[in-house]
Amino acid sequence: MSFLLNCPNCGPRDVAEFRYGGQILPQPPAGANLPEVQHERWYHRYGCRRWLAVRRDVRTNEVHHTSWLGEGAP
Amino acid sequence: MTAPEVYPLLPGYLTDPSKPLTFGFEGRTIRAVEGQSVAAALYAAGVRVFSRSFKYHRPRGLFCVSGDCPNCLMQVDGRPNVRTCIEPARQGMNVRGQNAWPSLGFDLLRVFDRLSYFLPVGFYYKRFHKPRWAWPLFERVVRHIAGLGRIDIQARPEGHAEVEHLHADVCVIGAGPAGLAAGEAAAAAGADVLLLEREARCGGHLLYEGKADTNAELSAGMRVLLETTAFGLYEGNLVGAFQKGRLLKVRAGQVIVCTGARQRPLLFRNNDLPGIFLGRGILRLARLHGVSPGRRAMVVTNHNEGHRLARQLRALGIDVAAVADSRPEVRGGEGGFPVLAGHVAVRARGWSRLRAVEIARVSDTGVIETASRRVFACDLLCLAPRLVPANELLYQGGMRFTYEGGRWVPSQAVPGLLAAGAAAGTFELEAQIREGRLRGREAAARCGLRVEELGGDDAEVRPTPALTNPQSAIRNLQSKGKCFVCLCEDVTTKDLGQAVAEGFDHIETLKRYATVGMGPCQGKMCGQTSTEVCASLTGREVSAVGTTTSRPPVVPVELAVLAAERQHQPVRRTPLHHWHAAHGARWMDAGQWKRPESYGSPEEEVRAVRTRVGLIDVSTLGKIEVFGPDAAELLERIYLGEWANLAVGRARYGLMCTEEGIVFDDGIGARLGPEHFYLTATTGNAEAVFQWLELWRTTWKLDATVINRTPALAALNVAGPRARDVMRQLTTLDLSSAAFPYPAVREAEVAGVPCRLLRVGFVGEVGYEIHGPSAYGLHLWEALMAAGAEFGLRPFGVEAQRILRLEKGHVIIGQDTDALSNPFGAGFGRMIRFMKPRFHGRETLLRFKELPARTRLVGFHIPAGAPQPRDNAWARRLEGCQVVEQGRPVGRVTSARFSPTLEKYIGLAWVPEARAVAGGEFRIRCDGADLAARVHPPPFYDPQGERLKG
Repeated sequence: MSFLLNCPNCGPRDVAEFRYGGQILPQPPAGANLPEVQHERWYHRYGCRRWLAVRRDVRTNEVHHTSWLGEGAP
Repeated sequence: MTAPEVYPLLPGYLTDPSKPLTFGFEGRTIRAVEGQSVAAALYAAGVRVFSRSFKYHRPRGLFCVSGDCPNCLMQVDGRPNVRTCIEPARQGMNVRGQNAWPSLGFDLLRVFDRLSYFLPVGFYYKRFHKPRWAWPLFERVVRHIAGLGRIDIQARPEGHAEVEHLHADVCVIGAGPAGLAAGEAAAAAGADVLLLEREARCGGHLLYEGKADTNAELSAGMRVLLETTAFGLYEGNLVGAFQKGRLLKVRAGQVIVCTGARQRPLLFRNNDLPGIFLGRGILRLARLHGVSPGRRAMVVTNHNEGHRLARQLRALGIDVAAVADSRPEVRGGEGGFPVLAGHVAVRARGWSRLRAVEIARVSDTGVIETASRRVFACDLLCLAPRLVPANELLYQGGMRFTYEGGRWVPSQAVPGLLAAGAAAGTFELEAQIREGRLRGREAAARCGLRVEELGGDDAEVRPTPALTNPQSAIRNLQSKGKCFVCLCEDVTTKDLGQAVAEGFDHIETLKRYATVGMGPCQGKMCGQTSTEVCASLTGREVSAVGTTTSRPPVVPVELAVLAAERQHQPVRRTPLHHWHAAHGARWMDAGQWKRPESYGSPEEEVRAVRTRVGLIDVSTLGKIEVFGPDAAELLERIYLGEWANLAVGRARYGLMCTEEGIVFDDGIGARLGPEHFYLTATTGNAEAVFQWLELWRTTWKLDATVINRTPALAALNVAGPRARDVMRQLTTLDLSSAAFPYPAVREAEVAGVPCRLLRVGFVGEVGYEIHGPSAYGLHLWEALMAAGAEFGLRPFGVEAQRILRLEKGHVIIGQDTDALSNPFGAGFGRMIRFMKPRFHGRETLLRFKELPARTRLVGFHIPAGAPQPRDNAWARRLEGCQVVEQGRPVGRVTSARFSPTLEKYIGLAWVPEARAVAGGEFRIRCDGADLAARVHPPPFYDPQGERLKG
């Protein structure tokens, strides 16, 4: 993985600066296939140290949207 | 051996004849000049056999002279598999051959060449299996013979490999005519351009084809990195490249790949003899390194390239015996050399170097007319087939190619990726330059820069015309002797035929079974040929067969370079680090931290804590502050226990769990105010716990603030029966158990420094953790050391702390438990407050509760059979040993030490439920022998906690 994530604070940064925090799901449906576009949490470990909400296509690693976690719908 | 011949060096060459040097090669001293490659200098000194082939140990000589093929791999200063044709010679270096015994010139292992009947393709899947008892013997022999080179485990890479991160609007890979044009066009449009070139000079094929002045001034706005090899194109336009001892990570908006093209071997018997070169290899040897390749050359081609090459050879003073061109209609004669139309090479003659070439006419249907065979004596055979684009990086970037008119051309556009020149299938110089310029402008436009429209001829690249006879280079598939497709792995046309006959007819399975393209060159030499052979054998079109997947690295990269980033390991030091160092601390790593393991004798340190008083630096603990109206709610939901009911001024042990019910950290939480908590986390998890709290505070939108104060605060733990006496010297706080009980928190001045005091007891004695500003850490420590002198205070390290905690039976999360541990089996059940409506892991833990715990974590001691006198190194070896029942593993030991307090070996172990009763016996397998252990419910020491609370 070497895609870029657009941190609302720091701008586009290498994914290596972030820690993946899992999908944003109330409860993962058992046995469900992964969706094409996931809502995810990412933590800007080597940057501003804040949690982001990210909408990402897990097949292409195209990042559709980033925002602060907990602020507005992801 | 031929006498060394060195050309007069002209501008544009890589060498500097004014700087001579010497190096050693197998007991000889070799002369070279600066800039010259090791292999070129060896060639000039008469060396012709450079390596022995992988399987048959056939002699191999210089072939591509561009770092692509495996023929020149040698050991250089202990480094195996160095591509000596591109490795610059350095004064005093030590070069040796490899994969040969006893020597490169005379290799007894060439016997395998004669045994090839017994070593068919995929032989390692078929041989050595029977009889089974013989395998250990085979294995020893095979291990000795297999592989290339020998790793010198004593060798250390020179200097430190470094990593550099670079950014550019446009990154151009390759500074040939197309790359230079692309870079300059993009830079002219205002783009920030980075140009990577693997050679020491720009120019690409112009350098050795003598076509242009390569000293042209480069435009401003373009950064050029020479001797920089791109090895991979990764997601997000990340270009991986290396220089000597340096890894480059280039993040570019647009990447333009201009990596040119390569020649490849033609197929005929003995096509691997030393003296057979790729045409461009000869030119590189002569023009880049100033070494005369030979005297009399034969050129074999299927393209105009061969005729151009013949003229170049003549210009270099090499006699051209003839040009054999497989195209029947071609004419020649004006170059001053005979041209044999419709002829191909059928056999090379010679034992360890080329003596002559057999040429024969080929019919229109591709049949070789054996009667027309002619023999040409020569010492050079130059292969000049059609060029194959060096498009590996483009494939990695997602570009795909189709085979049209005998050429591979890009078939789809990829955002962020462009190609120009031969890599894109454009072979005419004019068109290459025009294409480069266009792609450079396109890249700039894609970066959002304004680029003026071009009109007329300049607006498009004139495509390289399709070949009139896109005739396959494949013939002689049934020829006698060996005809190599893959030089790296010694794969012959017969091997491919056999593999296809066995059913491996898909190009990817053919590659895996026959190992064609799996050697050091990774298919750069044999990819196109194996595709064509596969097409010919299976009666399919080349385009239907396709190519194998290109993966990074395109070129070999030293692991030391790839590991450059890992060589820099940040080390964290506590505020007391230098005191510890000055007082004989033996260090241990705790995550990124350095911690004193002990100051000499852990047992003496244990005794001091148990009988007098000890002092330990616990500054590495995670220290987290939580405040706000929802602070208590946040902790209630994160930890397994209760917090809302914790009184101000009191502290409590807390455990936290993931959603999966895995306990991941523990620590002390103290309430400083109704809306203010202070938490500690374990050393290794400080950051993770902080992130965890932040994640859920954010997700649940709780009105609380979480601050990680770990590096801002020093923490010292003074513990032992005289701890209170020591503290009384430094603080006016009422330390009586009535005023400051266990476990509680107070804020007070200690030695004049405002601190937080936690009365806790990891080691099981009266103890105070003093948390104060890092800047005053040393002051606090020295004040405590001075105040404690009269009470026999002694500093102690982590090893003593571990023994002390084990005597108390305290569990270390991550050592005594892991992600598979049932929290109830670990004894955490009584700390879980299921009456809380929600907390992390509640649902999973409820399910765990219903499950029977198969194993339990218990304390044990070893009644007999352990070494006497005490041996803590032995005890530590028990950690990780299996608990066995009737020879089967049923559990494991997680902690073990000799307790100097109890004069016993004690520990913690996971044992089957049935054994987990006081006095229950179980067996531990250690060093191959079984040892009896007896369950002893912890704590081993002070079970009522009277000393702790006293």
